[in-house]
Amino acid sequence: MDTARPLWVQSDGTLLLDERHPEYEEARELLRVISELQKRPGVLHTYKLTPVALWNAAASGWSSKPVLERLAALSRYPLPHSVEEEIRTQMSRYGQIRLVSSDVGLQLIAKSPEVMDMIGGLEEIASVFIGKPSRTSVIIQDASRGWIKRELAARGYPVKDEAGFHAGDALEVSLRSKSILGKPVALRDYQNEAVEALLGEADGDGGSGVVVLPCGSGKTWVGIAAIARLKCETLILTPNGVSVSQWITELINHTSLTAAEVGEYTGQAKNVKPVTVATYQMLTHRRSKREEYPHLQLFENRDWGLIIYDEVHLLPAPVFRITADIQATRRLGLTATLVREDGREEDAFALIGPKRYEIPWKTMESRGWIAQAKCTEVRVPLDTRTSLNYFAAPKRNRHRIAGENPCKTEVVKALLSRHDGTPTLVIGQYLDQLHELARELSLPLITGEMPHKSRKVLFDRFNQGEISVLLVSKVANFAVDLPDASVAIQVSGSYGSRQEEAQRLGRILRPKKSGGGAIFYSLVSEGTDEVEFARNRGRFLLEQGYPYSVDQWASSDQSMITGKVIL
Amino acid sequence: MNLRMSVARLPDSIRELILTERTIKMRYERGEILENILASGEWAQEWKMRADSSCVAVLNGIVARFAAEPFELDSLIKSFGETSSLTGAEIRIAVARLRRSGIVFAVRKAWGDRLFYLPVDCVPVWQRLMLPVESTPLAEEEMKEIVFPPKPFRLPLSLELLSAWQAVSLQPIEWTTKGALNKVSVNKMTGAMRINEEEIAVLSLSYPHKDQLPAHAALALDLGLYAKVLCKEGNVIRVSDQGLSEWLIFSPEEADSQLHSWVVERYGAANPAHHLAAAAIDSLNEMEWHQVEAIGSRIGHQGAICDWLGLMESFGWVERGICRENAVFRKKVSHRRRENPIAQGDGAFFVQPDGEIFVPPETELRARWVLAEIAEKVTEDSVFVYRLTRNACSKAMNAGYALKSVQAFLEEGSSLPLPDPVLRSLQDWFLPLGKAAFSEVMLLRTSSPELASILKQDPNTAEKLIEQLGDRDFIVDAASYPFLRLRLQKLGYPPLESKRDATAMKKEEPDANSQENMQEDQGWVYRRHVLSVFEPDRAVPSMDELFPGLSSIPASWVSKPRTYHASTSKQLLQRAIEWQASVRLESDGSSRTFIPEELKDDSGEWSVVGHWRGLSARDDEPGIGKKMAVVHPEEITKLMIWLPLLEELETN
Repeated sequence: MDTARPLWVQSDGTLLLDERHPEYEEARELLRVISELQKRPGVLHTYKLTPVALWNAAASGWSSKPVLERLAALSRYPLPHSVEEEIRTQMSRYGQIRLVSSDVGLQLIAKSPEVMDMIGGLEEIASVFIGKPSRTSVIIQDASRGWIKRELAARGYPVKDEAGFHAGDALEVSLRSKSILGKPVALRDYQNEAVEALLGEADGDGGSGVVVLPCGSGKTWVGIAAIARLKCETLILTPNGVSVSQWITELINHTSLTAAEVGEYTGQAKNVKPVTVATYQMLTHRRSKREEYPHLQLFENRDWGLIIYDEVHLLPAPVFRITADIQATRRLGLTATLVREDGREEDAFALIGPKRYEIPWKTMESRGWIAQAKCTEVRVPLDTRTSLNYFAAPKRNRHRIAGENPCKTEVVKALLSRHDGTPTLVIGQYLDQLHELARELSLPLITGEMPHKSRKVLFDRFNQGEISVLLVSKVANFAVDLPDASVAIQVSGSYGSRQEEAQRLGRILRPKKSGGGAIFYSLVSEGTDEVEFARNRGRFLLEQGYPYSVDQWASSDQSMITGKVIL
Repeated sequence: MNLRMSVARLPDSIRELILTERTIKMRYERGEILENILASGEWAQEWKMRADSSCVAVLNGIVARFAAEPFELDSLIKSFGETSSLTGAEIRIAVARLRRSGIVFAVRKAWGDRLFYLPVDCVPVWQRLMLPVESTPLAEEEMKEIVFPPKPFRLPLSLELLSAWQAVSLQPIEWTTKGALNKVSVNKMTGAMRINEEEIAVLSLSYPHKDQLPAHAALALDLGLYAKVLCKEGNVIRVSDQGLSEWLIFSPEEADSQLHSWVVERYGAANPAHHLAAAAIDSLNEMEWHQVEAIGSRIGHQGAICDWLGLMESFGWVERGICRENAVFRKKVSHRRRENPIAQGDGAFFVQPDGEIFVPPETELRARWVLAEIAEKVTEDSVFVYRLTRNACSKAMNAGYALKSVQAFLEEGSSLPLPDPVLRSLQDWFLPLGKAAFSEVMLLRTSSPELASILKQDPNTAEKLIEQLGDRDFIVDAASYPFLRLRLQKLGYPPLESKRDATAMKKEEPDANSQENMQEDQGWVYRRHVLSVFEPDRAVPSMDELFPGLSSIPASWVSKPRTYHASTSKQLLQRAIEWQASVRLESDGSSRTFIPEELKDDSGEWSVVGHWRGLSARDDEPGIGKKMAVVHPEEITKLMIWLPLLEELETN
């Protein structure tokens, strides 16, 4: 054992990194390339070696030898053999199978006859072969380009796609030097690097892939810059309608595109323009389960040169399927995490492309690109009547009673008073509670019931500083850009959705004009199941590296006297 | 039997003889303890340099053929058979000398036969001297070519057993008087283990309830009982608090070192080939790769080496791979005790703010045991991971922990205050625990409120009444039952003697079988040779005992070559054959050593069949070779039986 080293390597490929160690930075740089960060709640950060991470490392030019040497040099104990083998095996697999365009069609090339034999032995795969394979290559059906990549990746064999892309219809577009509002338009270093990493390698398998940036780091800008570089018609897919509006606003504000050139394809409007922004929900909408997905036609409506998948980790299965059919089109995935709840990381790798760029959250924070955040859970007791209701209610109803605890109102008041003048979001799960808060505190409220245009007006007013507090329902969980929000108060949340809490926190991570940090309060009813749910969510934030503390709301009288939360 | 027990059981007479041995005497007079001298490699080396060649050859044979397996003299002599020209007489004398040097020990079976043995823990010492492994570690370039066939991860045995014993602590192993084991408890224990039955099949363990208990479970019980972590009480095997406490002071490395010794002594020693393989492997440095074949070339038991390496691999002590088509291996840990245990820079473990606890490999067993009681185990790998949860707190409370003790333990173990979220969670989870509990108390029931009132007014009685329930009953201290009974009698209210649950009140008497003792066979697995059941042999045999009839033959037969009548020569040769001794035979003016084996009579003409010992200048040295020959009486000019003299034996 060498205690002077920062890393423990487990036999299952889990890597534990000690952040206090002088070699932490060096080790983190290596782990960022070869593994997925799982959590960093304290001094030990947990990473995991996965096939996709190792393929990504190989795709970015690494080979197993230096990886093993550096891992061994950083590890306290000799590397477990199972880990050495896994690294060698997975990294050597990248590049063993390639797809190239040839005069006679799409050609699958294997590095050795053995690999070709292995592929030919897979009956399903062989079904798309045209003719008999030679020793190391075979022509395959053009339409199976995406499918074969996905199927082979699912079997542990990544395919390096060098078949190139078609340009799509050209579109004259460039970044403005100044936005419509008169602010200078300039990409940050890392946004430029991300675009370069995606598009730089024109003749290899470059041009398609995933950019991983933390919440609040301006992923949208990477997408916009890619459009401006490629100058082609582009389809942008996002998780929700609010995000659609914001993409459109950003495109019009910061590029030479006009409103006539940018279309919205949602439940409210179906305009297909040279740049079209749509929701995943819309694309996967159908009237009955037996029906095909009618809106997937959007992929073929125009000759897109680029498709951008915002929050690519949320990509639904039908969109994956259609993506398999459009592999000649450049694709850009934007996300804060490669980890998918459904475990289909291989699909994203095969169909969108390898990870092209990632920048660690801590680096962003240290450079001031995202705000430092403090998370505080405030325990609020139930009043006697609510408490009796709570314990008399069936278990399924309790969460709502705890979530709607009326005593939370006075806590919200106290917190708003404490952060008076600071742009603040009050986020809740239950509409009744939000309406009640809106009425009692005379605050504007945005919910899913509100038309998109009205929502946009309120968001714009908030962003322009005309209103400092917004009440929002879960519509604001994803992809809503409220850069100046510094304080978020979560009054209620879904049962245990860890993703939700992180997304809500993400709303306030944009760097502040004041240079200050962001504060996230989560109000939790003391003595109820909400405490455990909140604990799970809080653990997730801790695992992401956000400090998370718990404070007790003092009795009503006391708080009125002191006028502040006892923190 | 090990050296410590062998020396402790030595009769004074033999002990005194051993202390006169030159190489021992010198050390003993310097203040060294006999047991330590005999265990010392340095002493063994010096002894070997000074010993005569027949002693070394015989010891070599014992190590190679028997290791620590007990043997009878005849078996030893027979085992030399065709491969050596040492005579039986020389072997007998060499064994007697080895006993006087404290190398070989002897016990007497009930019917008087002697059993000889090398103490089990001395085998590695002699293996290194007699059959040293001559293997060069693989070079760095070669190491890079090692490939590893996929194999499941294995914990070091110390941690594997700790998990198994933790399962026993939660659910002791029980069996009925008819011998039916409680399958649930066995399954709980085996469920906590990764080692499986096939992996230890090579040990061919034999033990009670074999039809119901897989071999890996028997191994866990055997080592647990031998380590005294487990104890047997009637039909139950449970964790012994005291034994556990003594075991938990070890670090995993120390525990593995101890377990390695026991595995070799208890299971490996039953098969000399395994024992030698174990010793040979143990003689190598850790983390150096060696070819399996190179080890076997000297030891000779290739199969046994592979078997033992497989076992060691299952116990997490060895890694195996293939290098350039050769099987290779390396020891992962040293089983020799370190002079300076590894110092830990941080605390024993890390408590993360999300309630997970990371336990590095070197963390001592006590911390691991406690963590298993207060947290949920998430990962068993090089680094163990535990998680604090609400259920784990409830479990901890039932195991006797409270918030304060858990907090104190975690803070001490991590050398840091608990992170706020962890402390808050523990506070939340412990808060509702222990607020209500069931309790068995003794109730004093009176027939009326009036009598209850009288008792309350009697000061002697009143001080024993803990709490009044209703108007007629009191909770009383169970320990005051005898006092209250007499007091009530005195007050004129002799209490009814209800049948009390004898089993509940009876303080559990320890089973006579559960008494901890130093018996060699304390365990679960049957052992082939339990030498401690035999009496130690009380004397090194005299020459007369070694060579029966020595005092009744003419002294010249063993002192000087002489000319005898053919019939006397025949008698002399007959005696030499009985003693398995060689003879000095002069023929045609030259003197040579002949080892007679059989007298043949052919129509009144006799001849002796045997072999000459070597013809070279070193022809008197044993072990040089055999030349079968027939000698007729007329060829014999002078003759004597050649024996090492008694004086020589006494003074050497």
